Amino acid sequence: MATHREGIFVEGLWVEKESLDNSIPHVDEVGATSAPLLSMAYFFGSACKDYSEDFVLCKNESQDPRKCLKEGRKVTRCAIDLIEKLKLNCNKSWEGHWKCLDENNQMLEKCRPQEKVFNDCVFQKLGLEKVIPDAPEGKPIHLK
Amino acid sequence: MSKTRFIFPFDALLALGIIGGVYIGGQFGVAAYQRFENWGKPKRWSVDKWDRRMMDRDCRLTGNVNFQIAEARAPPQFSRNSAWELEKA
Repeated sequence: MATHREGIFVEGLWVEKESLDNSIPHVDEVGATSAPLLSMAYFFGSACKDYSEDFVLCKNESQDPRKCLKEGRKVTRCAIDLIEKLKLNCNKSWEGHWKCLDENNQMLEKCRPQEKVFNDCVFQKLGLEKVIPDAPEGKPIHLK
Repeated sequence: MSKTRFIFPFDALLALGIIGGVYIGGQFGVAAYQRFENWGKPKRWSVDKWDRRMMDRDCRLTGNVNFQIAEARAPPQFSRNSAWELEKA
């Protein structure tokens, strides 16, 4: 259950000691931090669309974390798969893009050249294209 | 009134130069100090709740807010180091 605000007068930290039930299959978490995730976000959106949609619909029904574990595991596995494929094929251009994002306060508009190189590599090797959903008609902003 | 020629005040240039130099040097100094604080990167600005929580997750993954990794799977301690902040009721 996510809290609606962060703690203001914090007295201590609570760390959960027990691990998950053995009945729940174990899935590794995604090990990418914010900049690499941001640069591959649109490819994740197009590659893992079905699983993400299932997860979001499940979350819309109930906010309880226990109810959407299965869909969440599928999303995590899909993301791990995509990152492994990216590291195998387009590692250098991906690194160039997220290192640039890291310098520029995670703003996508400052790193368009590196983004173009990365998008071309991904389209060539993996066939994924960056599409901004619900964008108005005309040239997409990342191609201007 | 007889016409007097205007002589440019060259002596003031030194003082104005010092003021301008300290001001502009100070801007560079502030930027350099912020880079030093953030491990060689400029400071994050316009950080909203999403960014704050992402930075928290980065800290759990790498130990420092400013470090980034791009692994597929998280290190094993990632599943154990999330913490809730406690407040007195």
